[in-house]
Amino acid sequence: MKKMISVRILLPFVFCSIMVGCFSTQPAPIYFPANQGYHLTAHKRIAVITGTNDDVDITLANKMMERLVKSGAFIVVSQEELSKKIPKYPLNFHLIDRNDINIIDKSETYLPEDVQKKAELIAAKLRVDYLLIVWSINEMSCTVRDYVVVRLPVATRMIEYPSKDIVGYSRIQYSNARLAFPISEPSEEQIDDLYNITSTGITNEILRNANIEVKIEEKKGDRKPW
Amino acid sequence: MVKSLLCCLVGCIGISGIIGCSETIRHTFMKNDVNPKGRIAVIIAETKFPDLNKIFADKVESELSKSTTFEVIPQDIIMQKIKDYPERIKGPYKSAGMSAIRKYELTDVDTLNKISAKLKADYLYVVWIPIGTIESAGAGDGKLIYMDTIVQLFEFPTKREIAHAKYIIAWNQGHVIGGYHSPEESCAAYSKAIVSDIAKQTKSQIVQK
Repeated sequence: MKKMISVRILLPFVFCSIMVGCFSTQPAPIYFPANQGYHLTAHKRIAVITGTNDDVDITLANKMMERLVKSGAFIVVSQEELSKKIPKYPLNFHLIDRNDINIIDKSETYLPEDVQKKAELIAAKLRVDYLLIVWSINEMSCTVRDYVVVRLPVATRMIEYPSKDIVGYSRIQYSNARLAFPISEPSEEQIDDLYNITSTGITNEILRNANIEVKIEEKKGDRKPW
Repeated sequence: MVKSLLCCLVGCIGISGIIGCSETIRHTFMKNDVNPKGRIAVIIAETKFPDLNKIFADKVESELSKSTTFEVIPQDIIMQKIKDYPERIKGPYKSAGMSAIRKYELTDVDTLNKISAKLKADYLYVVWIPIGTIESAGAGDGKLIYMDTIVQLFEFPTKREIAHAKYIIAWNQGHVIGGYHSPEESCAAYSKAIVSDIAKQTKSQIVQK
């Protein structure tokens, strides 16, 4: 009897602890080389820039920049240098028009000609070998039912210079979930966690593409191709 | 008969309550010792919703001119004096797409100080509208629009924060009973409540004779 009670008491906790943890991970490609067999060259100069002045995009770009700096695999242009060399960067900087670029039927490496020209000017100013542009396909969204689920669909383009070739891209949605009790809105911690999962996931894949061994532990999150 | 009359009465009270909504805004004042005759400007610091920002700034400005003793700097003068105005200025919140977590210490006060110097303003009422939410309401095409608004009132050149507040500017679209039916109508009502609170707290009301 005693055993029965303890199992009854414990069962909901066991169930909750399983469900509170992020949903099971379905491995999905995060960063694709545009051509099979292409590899980034480590120790070259790279800049990570935001595609729009949306705070979500700025945060993602900054976090990815930090991770690349930490890896030591590339010479990464600093935030200070970006602000100094790109007018109004990042708060009043616009490169990507989401309405134009996010259309699903366009090629995954699509980048409008005017954006490519602007990117080329930026790359020349920064004297980089690679320019990584990051933006959220749609704004971060949230649904609340039994769980508070936050979703962050992200796109990237990696451009190589001086060839101007788009050598890599991402098109992926990350999400994480937690029980909608006692608070039915995402906490700052949940949102920060999603930023970290997303930025780590993409940068780790970039490092792997550059044949750099990734030692940093990847946090689990749900990710699906967008 | 009595029951149906009662139902009718309750219904009417309910509807009139919704239709005749008058807003109440309470700013949190850190200081009240302001110069009621100082120069003040309403500054748009978030560019996501340009049309709404313009309507809101114009309404608050006109209400400040009408109801307070402050000398109000109009938007067209601000545009002349501040190159590329309005532009994003780092605001008192951490945005996460669909929600904004308030952190008043995050504001870029140095940029605001430069703006106040160019305008020769003593006070800046700075407005950020970072998030808009649309919900379905009523029958068919009815929608409720909520705009999260965060404001801070600063004094310059001291860079003192005088007050701050968060409120939601809301209106309806389509077939929805009650409430405000346009951003203009909503901003007019909210700006009255906003300026009434500022005037009361700073003792800058114009006394009607």
